[in-house]
Amino acid sequence: MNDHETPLAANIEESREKLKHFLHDCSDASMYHFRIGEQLPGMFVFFSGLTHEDRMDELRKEMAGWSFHEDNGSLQEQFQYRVAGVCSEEISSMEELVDHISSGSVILLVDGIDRGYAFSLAEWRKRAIEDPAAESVIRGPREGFTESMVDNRAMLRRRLRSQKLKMRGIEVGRLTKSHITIAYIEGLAAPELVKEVEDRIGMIEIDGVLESGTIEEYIEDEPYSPFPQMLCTERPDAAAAGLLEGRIVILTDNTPMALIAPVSLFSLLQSPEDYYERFLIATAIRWLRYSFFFIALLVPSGYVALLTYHHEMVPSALLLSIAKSRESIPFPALMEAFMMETMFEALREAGVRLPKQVGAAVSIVGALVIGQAATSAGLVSSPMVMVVAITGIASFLLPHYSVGISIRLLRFPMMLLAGIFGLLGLLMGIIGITIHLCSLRSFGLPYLSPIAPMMVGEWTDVVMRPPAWLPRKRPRLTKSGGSWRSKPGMHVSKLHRKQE
Amino acid sequence: MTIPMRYLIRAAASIAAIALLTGCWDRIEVNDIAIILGAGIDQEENNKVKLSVEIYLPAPDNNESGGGQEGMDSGSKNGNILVSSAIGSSMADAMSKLQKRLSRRLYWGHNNVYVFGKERAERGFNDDLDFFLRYVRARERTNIYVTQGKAIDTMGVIPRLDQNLMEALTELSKTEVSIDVDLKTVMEQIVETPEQTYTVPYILTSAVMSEKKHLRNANVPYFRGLTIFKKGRMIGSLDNELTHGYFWITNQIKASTILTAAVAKDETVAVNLTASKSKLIPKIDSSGEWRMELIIECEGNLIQNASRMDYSVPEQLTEIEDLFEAMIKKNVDKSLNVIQQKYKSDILGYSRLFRRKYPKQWAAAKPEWSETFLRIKTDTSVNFQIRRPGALVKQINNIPME
Repeated sequence: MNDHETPLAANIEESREKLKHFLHDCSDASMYHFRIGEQLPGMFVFFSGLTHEDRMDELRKEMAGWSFHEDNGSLQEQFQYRVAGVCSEEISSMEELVDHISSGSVILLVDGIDRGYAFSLAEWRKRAIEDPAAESVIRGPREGFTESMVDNRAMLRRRLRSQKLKMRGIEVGRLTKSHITIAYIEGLAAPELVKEVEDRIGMIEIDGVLESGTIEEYIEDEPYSPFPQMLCTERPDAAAAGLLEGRIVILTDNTPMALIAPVSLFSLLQSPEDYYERFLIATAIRWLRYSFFFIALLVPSGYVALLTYHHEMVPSALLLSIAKSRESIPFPALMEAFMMETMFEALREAGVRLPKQVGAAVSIVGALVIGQAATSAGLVSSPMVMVVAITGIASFLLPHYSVGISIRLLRFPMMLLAGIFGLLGLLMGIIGITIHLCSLRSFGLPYLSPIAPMMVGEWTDVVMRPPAWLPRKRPRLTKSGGSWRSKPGMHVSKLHRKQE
Repeated sequence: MTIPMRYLIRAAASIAAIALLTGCWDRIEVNDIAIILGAGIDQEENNKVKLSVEIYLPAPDNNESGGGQEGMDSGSKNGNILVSSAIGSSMADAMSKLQKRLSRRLYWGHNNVYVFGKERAERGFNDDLDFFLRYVRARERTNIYVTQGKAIDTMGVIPRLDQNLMEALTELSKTEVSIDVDLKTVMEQIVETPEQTYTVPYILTSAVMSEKKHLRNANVPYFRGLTIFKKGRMIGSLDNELTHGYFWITNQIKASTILTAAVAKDETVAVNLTASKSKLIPKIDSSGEWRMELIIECEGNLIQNASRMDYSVPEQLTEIEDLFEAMIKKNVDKSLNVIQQKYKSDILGYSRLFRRKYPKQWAAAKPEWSETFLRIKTDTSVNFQIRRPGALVKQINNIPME
């Protein structure tokens, strides 16, 4: 017990007064008086709604039935002897008491003893495990993380039934005291990395952590970068896959979002479903995604550059039809593109924030704004509508929202560059982004790895989705990097044939 | 980072200001340009030149605006071309004069066709080529044509099938009807041949227009063979038949060409070429005589048989093939004769072949190449094979009774 902590009083009436003072204006704090063995006055202290009150009642009934014999010593001694087998922890200060009851425990205070007994009866209403809404898959598990840390940890443990899955707990936030769990696989994750993550989280000084985003912002390497340096997922299977690759998963209390670190750009362009689908199809989809990554970034700016400076590069017939549709458009191409892209972003944002009932209205208006009506009103040309629509779809093709939104953001400076300097500007932008990506690191892992720095051995997982039976080495970032992840052998069907 | 944030912000702000304050100063919107689809160059009096351009009018379609306005030209597709021309002492002068009349900047980047009037071609158009090759926006891969009359007459003509005549010409040049000759090819020929000899497709202008304004007369072919240029001037032309011979010699005959041979009176056989290869082998024999060996190997499929000949009989098949071989040889020899004796211009590329194989002798003969060229004997051998009879094996008149 530290000096600045308030000790508990031995007298129950005194304790009651002290508690009232300590928990004043906490209308959800409850005290429940009763007598243990019909003799010893006791009191349960808890926050209503956080505890399983039925079980507390059972406990009270049981304790009320305890009988004490005078020749076995004082009541207090006899009580302490018996309660030691029931309670989970003994506490001695008011602060500890508050800590316990706010995490759902029940504290029993007894007359004549200056200690409290904590019973873990935490139980509160929580959301059921549901389909992850933001990362849906066609093939793959349908459960997503929930707000409950206990459930989330269980979901990970269920997938990795090994004592090697370690989960370290840290508490962050002066007032919220949020539980953070750092999960990793011993022997796979590099210990320095685990320590680094733990240190970074430990250094956070903040009043409250309400979502993993706060943690992410505090511990990421480059706060000014538009690119996410941690993968945020609500899929336990994705988190487990990350763990198996030697990454670290950070679970935050009260949020269904887990953080995976370190990540490279390529892992952000992959979806967990890639690994569930047949590998040829998954490879094709992966390439589709890569190409649309560039489309999302470059098409509007490329269009602006071509139309304002490099008419030669447009095929003749296309230029003629663009010229025809642009004839009555009052704005320069850059303005037009900027207007339309802004409009699209606004619509997207409105669609995300609005209640579902109003959503239909937004989509109808949206179809008018980016569509035929805008063209017939003479505000935008129809090729521009196409460009905006294509880039819109392209940015949604990226499986992680945070990457999509950073690409969508970068589109605007790119358009500006293209409008000012043409293709030269576009190239400047691309070079700038590439330099930034090359210098970016996520917990020491180069963001463009394994392309830059070049690790040819790990390219298989970038240029294609390797078949599961293909012998694969563990990524080099892990502790046991380079060791075989799947046994170098043959596909099962071939083994079978050999046996015959 | 040791640089304080405020300096970084200041630097970023000034860079942004420098970039943004200029605005898009050299931007040219699509709305600001007059897209030239084709250009015609004519000779005028006092050695002046007349430049006519076909400009695309980007008027939105009537059906797109959807309004009840009455269309200007009864909804015909041909309303989207404007022809404008100007006369100047040179191409550049003519262009600047033309520019003064137009509210939009002339844009050569998508020009596909230069048409020269016959008069201009006979005077020589090297000055004009200098302009086109020097002017940055103009493309080197622009096709060149010479037309019978005035180039301006070919401007603004609607060929019905295509959007404009220029498109029709470039499309046709890709087929067996004619050949692609662009600025680049002409330049290469000027550099490579001793006497600047080259050919340019020749457009047939007579009766180009139908009685209806701007519509092309559908019953007239587009081309009338090739024109021959020597030392920068047009010195004559080959008609369609001679052009065909020229194609055979220079390996420019295209598959899908249809050949018809007469077996006897009113009896013809037609063959669709599927492959053809002509090979020229230069030779200087011991007596110092320059010779050229021409080997033509081609094959085709029978597409019509209106004769007694039976494809299924090997002897008769050989007979048909011989017929075609003789026809091709005759065609080639006739063209050779005209090219060598009448025009004395080496448009066949003989000089290049001799230069490669006999550089020394060629260097000696170079100053009087024309003289050497017309004395070169060409031995033609043709090998023609008909591979497939088509779906009908027998000919209809000879189908045996069941």
